[in-house]
Amino acid sequence: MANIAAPALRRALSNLLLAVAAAVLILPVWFALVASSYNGADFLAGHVGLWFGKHGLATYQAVITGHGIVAMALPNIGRALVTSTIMALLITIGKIAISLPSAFAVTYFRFPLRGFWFALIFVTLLLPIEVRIVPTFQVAANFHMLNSFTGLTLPLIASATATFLFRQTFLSIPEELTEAARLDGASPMRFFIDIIIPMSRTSIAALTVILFIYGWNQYLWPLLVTTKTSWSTIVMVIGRLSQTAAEGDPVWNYTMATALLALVPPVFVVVAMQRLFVRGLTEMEK
Amino acid sequence: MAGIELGNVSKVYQGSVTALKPTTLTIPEGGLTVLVGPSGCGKSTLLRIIAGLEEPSSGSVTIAGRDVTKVEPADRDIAMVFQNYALYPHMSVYDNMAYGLKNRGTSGADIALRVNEAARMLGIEALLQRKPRALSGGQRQRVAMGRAIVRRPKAFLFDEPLSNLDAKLRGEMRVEIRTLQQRLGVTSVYVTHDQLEAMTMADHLVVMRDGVIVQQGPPGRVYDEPDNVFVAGFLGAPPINLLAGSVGEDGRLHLDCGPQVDLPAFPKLQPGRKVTLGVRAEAISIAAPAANQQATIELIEELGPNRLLHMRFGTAKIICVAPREPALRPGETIPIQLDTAALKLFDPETGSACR
Ligand SMILES: Nc1ncnc2c1ncn2[C@@H]1O[C@H](COP(=O)(O)OP(=O)(O)O)[C@@H](O)[C@H]1O
Ligand SMILES: [Mg+2]
Repeated sequence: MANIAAPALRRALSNLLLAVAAAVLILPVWFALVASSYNGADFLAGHVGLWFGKHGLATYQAVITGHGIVAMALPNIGRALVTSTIMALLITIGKIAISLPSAFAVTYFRFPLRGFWFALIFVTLLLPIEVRIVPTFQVAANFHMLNSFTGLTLPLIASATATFLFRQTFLSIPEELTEAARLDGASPMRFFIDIIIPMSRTSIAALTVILFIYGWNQYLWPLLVTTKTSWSTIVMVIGRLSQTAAEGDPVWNYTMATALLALVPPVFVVVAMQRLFVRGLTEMEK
Repeated sequence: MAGIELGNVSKVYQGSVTALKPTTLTIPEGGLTVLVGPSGCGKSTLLRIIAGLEEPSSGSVTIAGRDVTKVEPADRDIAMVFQNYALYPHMSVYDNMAYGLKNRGTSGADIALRVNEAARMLGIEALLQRKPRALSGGQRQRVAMGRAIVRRPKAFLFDEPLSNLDAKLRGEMRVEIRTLQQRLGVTSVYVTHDQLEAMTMADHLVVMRDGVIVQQGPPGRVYDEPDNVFVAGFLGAPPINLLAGSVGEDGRLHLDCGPQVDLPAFPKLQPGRKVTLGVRAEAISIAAPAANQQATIELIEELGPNRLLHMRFGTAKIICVAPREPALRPGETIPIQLDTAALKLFDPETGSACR
């Protein structure tokens, strides 16, 4: 009897555990959603509970159109979303476009000082943007890259992590395939395009998600390299909104609404890539 | 002359591992040459040197009269079938077979013609739109062969192409490859460690050991006249019985395990000389009228058409193939006879055959 009950019990327990974990993860989002449906006064009076208030529509109208919060010299939120999306996409595409060929080179080609060049790529791991922010800013300023997508993205594009991950993926491709391609008369570039890239799409999908979110979450660098409000990213807008607390008139409802809107593009990317990602996994050869 | 010629080809990996000692070999045109030997003996290295996937440390490779030592693999006019098939997993069967032709700039119509022809030959027309993962092992094997056939190369190279298949399928594919090869008449080099595959498929058998070719020739002849004890032991299942002994004053062979054997085929042996006797399992017959030896049955393995008798012969163990009749039981001592014409003698020091 106990033996029969055991699997069912275990399943129930693990389901419970999953439900609790999901609730813990979803709770902040829920709070943000609820909070965005009250007006500023309710918020300060501590009227916000676990259920929605009556001002949800008004909050989102205000946030999207800019009416009511224009006074704070905030950038248009739609525009900030677009800026952020383009920036994150450029960073993602740029990083992948650079690291795919560089991983290909260090994996498949024998050239002088290969180990040295590979190590050099690795050293850049020690130099994230925060470490080199002042000289990088100076360079960006000297090249007139302030307030431009070039300035927002270029200094962030070089990626040792992606290069290394792609190298690992390439190393897992059986050598016999490389040899078959050689016998099939594929030039190195054909081999790269026809065989390597299609066989790496799982890694590409996973990295797209990671890199898009990395790009999306950039805060310090965009703050420095943009001097006009029209170039603000959505993360900068959230930052600006939450600073209002210090200025005496916090608009938590707007902050929460903006934060939720800022979730939409990354979630979209995750969902879109997840499908490809899962398909890639199930299609993998034994 | 138009087969494959290897002139003093050798291979040393990373300056230390000698995989292949200087080897000269002529692979006859149009036939199937099998390179056989235990794992690590350098068969794949030799094949990969022919393919151009491995650069020889010395020597030259000539395919169909053209020196290709410095030629890229793709331009050697050869096709290779790999052990793990090496199909491109993201491409359909059709694209897998067409890829080499596309890279060579063959026209689409011509590609379609050739792929369909090869697919018909291999019975895989219905699979052309599938991805490799949706195929069974045998089907993948056929696709890998199709990819080789469409190229219409001067030579096919096979590196243990059947070792990932189960025994039954291996038997079928063996016949299929052999039939196809004979039909196409393309010079083929086939690497295997399986002596049965080697014996059954080869026109020309090349036995290798430790980076050296130890014997070559038609498989029947290599089997009947092994040049040394290694070849004798490597070919044949059950393996040849090897018994140590020395030649007596009477010209008979005194085996260390006890019995004495007549050696009419070796009249010139020095008395006192130490030799190793090789007796194939099928060279021992039981209950023959002229039987002059005795052995005690220890174990009987039924094979169906016949059976293997594991016997004690003096103090040594021997195996013989016997018909199903008469009924025998373990423990029984029976008269046996060694076919004196089929006995082999080897030098115990050098391993080479005494003739
Ligand atoms: N790329 C390599 N680097 C170093 N040693 C190798 C390499 N390939 C094969 N060898 C060595 O060369 C010898 C012959 O290998 P191989 O030709 O693959 O043998 P076989 O195919 O007969 O099993 C083995 O000792 C093997 O370890
Ligand atoms: Mg091998």
